[in-house]
Amino acid sequence: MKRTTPHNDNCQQHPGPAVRNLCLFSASETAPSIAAPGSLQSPCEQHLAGKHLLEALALINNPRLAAADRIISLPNWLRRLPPPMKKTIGDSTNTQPLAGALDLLHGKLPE
Amino acid sequence: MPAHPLKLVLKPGISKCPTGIAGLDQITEGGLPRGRPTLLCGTAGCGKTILATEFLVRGAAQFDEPGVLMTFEETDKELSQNVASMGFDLPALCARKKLLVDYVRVEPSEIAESGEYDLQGLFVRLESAINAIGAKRVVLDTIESLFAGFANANILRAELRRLFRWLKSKRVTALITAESGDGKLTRHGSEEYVADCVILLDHRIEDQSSIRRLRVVKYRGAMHGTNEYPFLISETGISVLPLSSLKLEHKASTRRIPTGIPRLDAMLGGKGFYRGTCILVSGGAGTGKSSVAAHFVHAACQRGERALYMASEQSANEVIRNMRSIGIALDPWLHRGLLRFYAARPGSFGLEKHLVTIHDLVTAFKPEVVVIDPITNFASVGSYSDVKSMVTRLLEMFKSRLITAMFTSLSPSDASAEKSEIGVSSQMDAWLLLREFESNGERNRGLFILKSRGMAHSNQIREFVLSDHGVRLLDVYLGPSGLLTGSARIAEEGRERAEIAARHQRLESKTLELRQKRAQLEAQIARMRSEFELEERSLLRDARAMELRENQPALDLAKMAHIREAGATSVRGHSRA
Repeated sequence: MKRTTPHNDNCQQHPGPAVRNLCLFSASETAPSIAAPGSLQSPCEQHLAGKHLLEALALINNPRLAAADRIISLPNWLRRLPPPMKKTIGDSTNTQPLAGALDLLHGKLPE
Repeated sequence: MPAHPLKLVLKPGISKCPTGIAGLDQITEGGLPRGRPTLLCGTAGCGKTILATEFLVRGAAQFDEPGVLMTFEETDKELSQNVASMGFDLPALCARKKLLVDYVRVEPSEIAESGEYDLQGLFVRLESAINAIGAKRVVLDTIESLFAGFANANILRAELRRLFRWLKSKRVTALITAESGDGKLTRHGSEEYVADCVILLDHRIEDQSSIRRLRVVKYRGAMHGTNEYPFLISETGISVLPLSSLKLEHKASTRRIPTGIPRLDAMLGGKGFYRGTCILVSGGAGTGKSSVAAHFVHAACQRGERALYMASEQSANEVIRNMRSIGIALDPWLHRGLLRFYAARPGSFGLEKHLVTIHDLVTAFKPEVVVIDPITNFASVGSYSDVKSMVTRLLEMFKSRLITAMFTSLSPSDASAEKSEIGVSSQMDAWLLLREFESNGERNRGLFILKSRGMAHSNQIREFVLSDHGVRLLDVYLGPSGLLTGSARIAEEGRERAEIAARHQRLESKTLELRQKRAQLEAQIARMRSEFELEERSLLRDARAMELRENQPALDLAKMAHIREAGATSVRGHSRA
């Protein structure tokens, strides 16, 4: 798994064929955004070890990207892959629903 | 050291940002609060988006203030098409970087919510858009879509409050549209408390006709008109009425203009109406209101002035034909461009549309004289108060332009003639009342002046006769049973003539009689005199005779003596012979 640091625009590192492509838009100024990035780290690592790409984007630097993805609320999780695209907003202090919404658990490998 | 007196510093009021929308800047006395958010609320289809778009378009085109339009409902393409009918060319403005349209699609179905969030994304996008073109104006249309897109209304409400503050900190003049409902200004509340200015649009149906209304609900730190003002969406955008100022500051002309009916001028102090005043001509059906109006228009055109005739019952051709029957030819004026007709059924569209059409006509044609025939027909379109306010606005418009306006008003036959149906008489400067008198099986017309401000005017009722040569005003006769008009007047005139003739005859015969008497008397005198003369003569003769007889004996004796004396001798002598 590769995880770019928040507020880093450069997220072009592809670790081979990713099962999940996730993107987190956030802002540095507001509390929910600050709380967000860490929330999915452990579920991803737990369920999708090595099979996902997690981008974190600071919206302030990417207004155009935000327009393309129709982002108005932050923090905003985007599951680009696999299709269909899924969007979840919220700081995800409770990770279980978030992971469910983004269909992360579905890709859980059989134990 | 003397204490400083408390200084009263009069700070200038808040700066205002002109919208460029006709009428709205007048109501708000300059526009929206500059650098502050304004909430524009109203029900669906009341014109929020159009007003907001016009605010941006006019800002960009007229005041060189670039604007950002963030729309949640329509795509930029749809929006461009929708407002193109009003002459707003959004793509051109966008190309010139005067306008930036950002369509934000909020799709509730594709967003799942989990935990706390905020609308910082919106702020970021808005900020980048503002910075991209240096926007001074921002429109968000409409925040209801945001509420529809997010489940947590509490977060949204808090975020909107933050948005208002944020917009204020950005010093942009913002217009945020919101849907009103359930008797509240906005569905979710609280926005109206955060906004510095709240404008409410209303679109209601009354008596099957639609009426649009605009009201400034609040305006922090500034005076504003608080009434509901009608507005409409025309080919050139939003038009809010009043079209003129809220103040009563008309100029008062002392120039007089004739009415076209010489006898009526005479009743009005010999000179007619004041220029720039409003005249009400009221009366029942068929009392000749239109004829008075036609005379007025005709006289104006004869003076070379432009006249606007608004007919709400007859077409222009009908008016021309009907007036020709009383000897008024209006068509030459029409061809010479001095007369213009505006014939429209009141019900064809709302009062506001009429008002704006009239306003546009008056602005374009610049008439000196306007006739509205009849004003009462508009009562079918709006309620009593609507029509009254329409008339007020019309008066306002005419008076501010020194246009002399004549309104005809149909009064129902059963009501008192002095009662003006639409309650506008108090606003009128002059009021002519046409009345019908029914007697001896016929109806006749009478005219009198109920009021005429600022001039001496006749208190007499005149009989009003429509002849082949127009309106004539005649004196009325007062008979034992009241006013005499029509054939009763003619009969009365005949009777009076006969009476005079009889008097003449009587006088003549008296004179004759006198003459005859004198002649008789004189003849008698002559006869008596001649008789007397005869008698006198005979008497004199007799007297002479008597005198003669009396002197005869003495004479005879003397003669005899004489004869005797001489006779002796003579006798002797004779006897000798």
